Amino acid sequence: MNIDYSLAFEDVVFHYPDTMEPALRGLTVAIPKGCKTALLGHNGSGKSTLFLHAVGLLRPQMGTLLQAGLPVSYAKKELAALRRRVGLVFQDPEQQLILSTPMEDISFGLRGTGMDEKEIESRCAAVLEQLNLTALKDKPIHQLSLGQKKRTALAGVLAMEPELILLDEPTSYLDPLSEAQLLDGLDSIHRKGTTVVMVTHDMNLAYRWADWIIVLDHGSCRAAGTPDDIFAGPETLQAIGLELPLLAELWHSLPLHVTQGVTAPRNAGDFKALLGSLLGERMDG
Amino acid sequence: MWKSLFAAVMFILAYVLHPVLQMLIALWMMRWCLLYAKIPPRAYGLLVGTALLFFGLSLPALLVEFGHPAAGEASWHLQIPGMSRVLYMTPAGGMRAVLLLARVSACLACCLFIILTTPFGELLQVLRRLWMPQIVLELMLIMYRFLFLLDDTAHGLHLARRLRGGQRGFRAKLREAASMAASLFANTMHRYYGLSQGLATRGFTGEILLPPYVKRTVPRRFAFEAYAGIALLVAAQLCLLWA
Repeated sequence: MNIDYSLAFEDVVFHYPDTMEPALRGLTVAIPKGCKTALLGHNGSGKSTLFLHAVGLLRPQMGTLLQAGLPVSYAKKELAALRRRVGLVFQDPEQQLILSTPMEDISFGLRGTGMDEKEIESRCAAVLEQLNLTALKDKPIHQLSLGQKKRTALAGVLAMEPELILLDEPTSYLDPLSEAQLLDGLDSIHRKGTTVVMVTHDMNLAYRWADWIIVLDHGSCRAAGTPDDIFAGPETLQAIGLELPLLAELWHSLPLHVTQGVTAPRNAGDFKALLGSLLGERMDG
Repeated sequence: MWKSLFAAVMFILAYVLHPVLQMLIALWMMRWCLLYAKIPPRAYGLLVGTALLFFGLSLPALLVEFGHPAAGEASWHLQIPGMSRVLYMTPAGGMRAVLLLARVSACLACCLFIILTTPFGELLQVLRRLWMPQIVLELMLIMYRFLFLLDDTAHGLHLARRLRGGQRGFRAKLREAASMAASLFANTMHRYYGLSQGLATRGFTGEILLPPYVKRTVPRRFAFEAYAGIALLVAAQLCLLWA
């Protein structure tokens, strides 16, 4: 693989006990460094299993997991180091909130590294600020809303300053405002150079947010590329029963002479600007 | 730390003082919770009521005797047909129940004072300073998190069953409660598995490290009221002893 990647799976096979089908069947895929990657696929396509492998909670039964070009070692020390470099945010925030307030919980992982208390405090304060949680830092976790819990879970991972953050359906069950706050947080993390990978079933979100897309199907990689490549034609997605994002569908429905040589709009603002320019041309014409 | 020491002193006093003073302690601790800490009276009442329910359940054992009462001993008795022995109650049993109620109320009020007015994290820090073993603190922490998860799961299950019509009749309700308990257990185990995965991904190395203890200053008004109250209680006890 020639691209600069954070993590790569080579022919990884994993079969859960008591199941007929393997969850991963010869999965070969790379997560590009510094990108916002969306991981798409149906339920049971292997997305969560891929994440659990990425943090070393599951170990490939066949194949190799590579980090920075080297196979991941599953020795205790190396595993701890891997988990510091790769942070996983579960779909259900309750799964990873351990202590009783956001401030205490965010500092949980840092304290385990033996960091000095002042440094812990300043890192926590920065993360709380970044995710707009400062006002809630001493509120009992069971009193937080789902969106606030999700941001707290993300903050706990973020405080560890991982190189790669994996998010399992972070926007599920969130209202539009909470979703926007979470995505703002993710964008600010990405701007600092962190690689962000998100599992989502929301094709519109994947299209407007990601700069790299991986499509999984039955435990193997069906397609990987930029959103323009993946959504260029509906065939690949339709073959596995996924739909095109609304904007991509609109784009493809435009006449060829309009779209030729123009970059496909990835969000409502871009599409509005494109429409404005098209209508302007027509009026000019 | 100050608050814990205050509660500990009150707890000891609640154990050793005169029953009248024990009732006063219960009222005074209630004042700290409801007036100063602004705990909703309904929630406080519910907690006290639930705890006193256990006292209520133990009342028959405290009050009712079975056998042959001495002459004039029983204030109430019930002859069981076909048996020579009788069920009876004595004034001593009643007094025992009243004394126990006073002590239970005072000790309960002290416990609720510390539980309801201290954030859980701080409580653990204080316990650690008091050399509580790490494993006990970790268990307390996990149990505390699980209480809310359990409550959340139970609430979800209960709501889902009610929305689907629930069950009519006592037997059906009992059966429903049993199946709900089984579902609750399965759901909780699932959540436990999730939490253990979460712990592993967050760098758990076999020990949950708690935030360090932070010393806080106590407002003078509260300190004054606490010291004055303790002094008055001790003085009242001494007066009662000498009287």
